[in-house]
This record gives sequence, C-alpha cells and structure tokens, in this order.
Amino acid sequence: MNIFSLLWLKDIDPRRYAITRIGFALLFFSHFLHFFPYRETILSNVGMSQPSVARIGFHELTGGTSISLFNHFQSSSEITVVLIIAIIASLILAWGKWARTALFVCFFVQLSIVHRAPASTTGWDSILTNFGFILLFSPLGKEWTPWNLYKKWNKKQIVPYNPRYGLVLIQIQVFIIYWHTVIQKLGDHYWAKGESITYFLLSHHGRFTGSWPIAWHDLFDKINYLTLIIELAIPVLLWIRNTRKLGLWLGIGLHLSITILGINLALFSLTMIASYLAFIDPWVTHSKLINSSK
Amino acid sequence: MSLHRKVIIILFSTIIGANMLLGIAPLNTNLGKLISTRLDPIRWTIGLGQKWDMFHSIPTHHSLHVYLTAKDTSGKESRYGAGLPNFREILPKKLIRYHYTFLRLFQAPINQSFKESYIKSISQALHKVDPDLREFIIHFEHGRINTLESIRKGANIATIKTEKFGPYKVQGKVER
Repeated sequence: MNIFSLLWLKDIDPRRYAITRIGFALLFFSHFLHFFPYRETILSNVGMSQPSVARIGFHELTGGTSISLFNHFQSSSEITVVLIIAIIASLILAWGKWARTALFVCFFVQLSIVHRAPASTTGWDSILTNFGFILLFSPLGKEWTPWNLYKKWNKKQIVPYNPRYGLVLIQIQVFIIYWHTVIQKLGDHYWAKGESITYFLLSHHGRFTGSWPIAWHDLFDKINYLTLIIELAIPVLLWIRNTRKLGLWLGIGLHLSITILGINLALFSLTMIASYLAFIDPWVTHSKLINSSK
Repeated sequence: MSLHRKVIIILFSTIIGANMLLGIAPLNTNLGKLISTRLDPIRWTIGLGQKWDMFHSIPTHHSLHVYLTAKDTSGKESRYGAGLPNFREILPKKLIRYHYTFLRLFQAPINQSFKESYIKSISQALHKVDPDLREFIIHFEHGRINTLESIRKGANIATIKTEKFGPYKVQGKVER
C-alpha cells in the first residue's frame, strides 16, 4: 500500500496541474478548429457514412460500443453547433472556470468524433482522447487562471497540495506511446533498412517536393536509427530530473523537425509536446519541501 | 484527504496504469492480439484505446486523388469530386484526414461497412443532383513510391496506378 501511496498520492504543487490543464485546453482548441473543415463530410448524415453504419463499423473495428453524440446530432447545422460549443468549452477550460464541466464537454465531443468516424481518425485523436480521460478524473488546478499563474509564478507557499496521480498517468502514457511505436518500428522492413526517413520525405507527408531526399539518403539512413534511439530515450530522460532539460530539447526538436519537414503533422507534434507538461516542474524546490516536511 | 478518497485514487490509477502498460505489447504479436481482443471493447468505448502504431510502417504513398465519373441515360459521362455532400474536389494532401479515410475505405477490408455506406451515399446524392444519371465509377488514383534504387537510376519518384471501383447504380433513397 505504501508503494502505491508513494507512486500516486505524493503531494505536488497544484500549479503543475494548472499548466497541464491550460496546455491541453489550447490543444483541444487547435484540434477542434482543425476539424472544422471536415465536419460535414465526416460527421453529418449527408456526408460519407450514415450514423447507423458508423455504429456497426465502430463495433467491427474496435469491438466497442459507439456512444457518439453525432449519432443523435446528425445534420450539418447541429454538428456545427456542437463543434462551436466544444471550441468555447476549450477556452473556458484554459481559463479554469467550470473546468471539470468544460473538460467533460471537450472530452466527450472528441470521443464522439472517434466513435462516429473511426475510419477517419489520426494518431493524435487517440492520444488526445486518452489524456482527456485521465485529466477528467484528475485535479485541474482550476483555481489557477492563466493570469493568476503568471502573477504568482514565483510564489513559494502554495496550498492546498494535490496528489500527483493524474500527471504520473500521463507520464506513463507518454512512455508507452514512444516505446510501443519503437517496438513496432523494429519489426518494420523500412526502419530496419534505414530507409524510413527518405521514404517519409518522398511521400505525401513531405513538405519539400522532388527527389532531393535520394541525394541525402546516406545522412537520412543514420537519422533513421538515431530517431529510434531518441524515441526510446525521450520518456526516460523526461522522467529523470537531472536529464529532463535534455529530454525536452530532444523531444521538442524531434517534433519540430517533423512539423517543418512534413505537412499535416503539426497537431501530432503539438499533442506530444503538450504531453511534456506533465513532466515539467518549475517549482521543484518547493515541492521537495512539501514532502520532506510531512 | 480521507481514506476512502485515497483508496479510490489508488484503485483508479492502478487500473488505468495497468491498462496502459498492457498496451506496450505490439498488436502484431500473439500477446498483443490476446490483450487487444479482451480489452479493446471497453478501452475504445471509454476512450482509452491503446494503438500507437503511428509511423511504424512508413508512408509509401506519394499522392492520392479520388474522383467519380457518372453516366446518364444517353451514355454521356460527367466528372464529380469525391467529397460529399456537394461533390467537391478533395485534395487529401491538404486535408490529411481524407487521405487516411480513402486509403482505409478502399484498401483495408475491415472498413467494408464504411465503404458500402460511402457508395450508397454517393448513389443517393447523385440521384438528387441529376435523376437522369444511371451509374457511376469511383476512380482511386494513387502514386506509390518506387524503390530508392530505381529512383537513383532515373525512375520517377512514384508510379501512378488507377483503380476503378464500380460501376454502381445511381438510385434514390432505398428503404432499409
């Protein structure tokens, strides 16, 4: 029981939850804005699939039961209203007022998109849904508006403290995402041969068109293996306090590179970078004092 | 914090944490498949699905273009975009979800229900646009990247292949 208490219940500064909440609120905001042009084609009953089929299709793909809002709100105008409400909720969440309700709205709309159109989902949809679920049951530092946080950033005595389980769960999820994807890549032909980066840059994802990656293949071959090492290292480096800065630089560098060299992947990069908020602790000295004085 | 609350937090966190840790087994292994079969129905229903295969298999598509052609009673052929409801041209390179959607619909048999629904939706929408239309074909034009060796030797970056799906009948709303 003590191990579990130490792992999940250790007190931390509530401002850590506040910065994570604000980061994910802005992420939800960007995500819903990005989804706006797709809404009619992907979610409505005059789009690519009927809600009744989506229910069956979701079950066939996942074994789960579709509980999408968009099974009920099917017309283009209804879907537009739901998305606008979600966008407003994400801004309210960032501010901190009615944070739990606002987060529930954001999470449920996001879950509804996945349930209504599983064939149109992206990797960052799953990441966002998972983090949304964890945050829904975590402290949110809701008494901390962005303005309060800015004004009292340097304040030392912050009470009441919060148990850290929500942030630890996000940290575990980040670890699993990176390690799982590397394990999968190790069994992949292109990654094993060092060709993945070159193919990626030649693909529909490549921002700079032309056959130029072929000329740089020898370099990309080395970057291919380096990427795998970096992805394995990022969560470990982020976990260890002394190497956290290095982990942040490597992670942000990796995802910025993906965004610059690839198109349509900015939201994925933004999602992963936002998840690093669960690791950072600008009030580290103070947190140590809280726990040592107990 | 009350003891009750502590116990609830510990139980919740341990269950959610264990679900994540079980997600590390790749889905192409027997262990991964077993875990996925048992847990996925609950995971995906509540939003805790563990499928992290982004980029494990790198993209080999250079381009994708999907469009429709429809014939009317006189045999005259017209071209339409693949985007519903207005048959607008869709550029999957600009709106990436369409790229994923079309690839999954036309290249992954597990999405058969969505593919059939899309075909049915096109059929009904075309009937509304022009009741004289009789049949349509979906053109799936995709450029697959050639091997690096062949590109080095002067081949094009990709070879474009057009697959045709159909012809399908154009018909109004059918009672199910």
